[in-house]
Amino acid sequence: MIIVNTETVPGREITAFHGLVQGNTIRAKHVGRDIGAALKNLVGGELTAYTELLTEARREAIDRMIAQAEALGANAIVNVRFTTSSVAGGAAELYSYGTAVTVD
Amino acid sequence: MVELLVSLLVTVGLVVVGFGVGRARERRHLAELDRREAASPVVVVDVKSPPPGVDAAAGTLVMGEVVIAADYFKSFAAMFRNILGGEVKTYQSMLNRARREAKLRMADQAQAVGADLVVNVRFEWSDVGPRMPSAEIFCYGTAIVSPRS
Repeated sequence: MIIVNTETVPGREITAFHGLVQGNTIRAKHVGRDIGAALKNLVGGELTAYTELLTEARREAIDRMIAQAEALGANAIVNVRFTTSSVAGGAAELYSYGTAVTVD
Repeated sequence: MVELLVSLLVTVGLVVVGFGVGRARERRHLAELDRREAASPVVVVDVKSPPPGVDAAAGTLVMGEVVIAADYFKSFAAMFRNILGGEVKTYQSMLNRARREAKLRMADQAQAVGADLVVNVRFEWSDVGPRMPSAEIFCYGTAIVSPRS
């Protein structure tokens, strides 16, 4: 599966469109991460646990999007976009979407 | 009276520690960013497609993300700024660092797949992080792999 955020796949020709595919995941952070983060609030710097949480969650959303594209018989997803939105109670949604296509 | 004095001393202590340690850490990070940016062979642009003349064999999504927290001094200074108004310089440098770091991580990923160009780069802000002053930056784009590599 080729995934790009450009409108076409560089060096390839799009032969068919299969429509919009999307994947999302909603994550809640657990208390442990916040305790570790409290110290960083004093001295500043990267919150590695949160970076990992984001990477992991976004990967999950992408995987779900890929699964949808595979079900449609596509071999690439173009024009991929990401958004996040916060749901009540400190949970956040990571959402990715794009257009499933067939390239030669 | 004593309680007030103690809480005042604690706050001043935290601000001093935040200022000292936070600034040292920020300086170290900025120096590291300068070094890594100079060493990175990957060209990062936000135009939609590779410029004509660039031989593109394949593209693949690359991304980088980072969550950076403000130190106590930064938060404290921002709190004052909130009352007085004006530019919050302490957060400005924090967000800049986060963007540069996320961009570099994306460039490193591009380099790992053998690309020397990333097009259509976008920056996102997300709000998954802790309830404290922090910057959560996500950077993504399409890495262009040229046929010779």
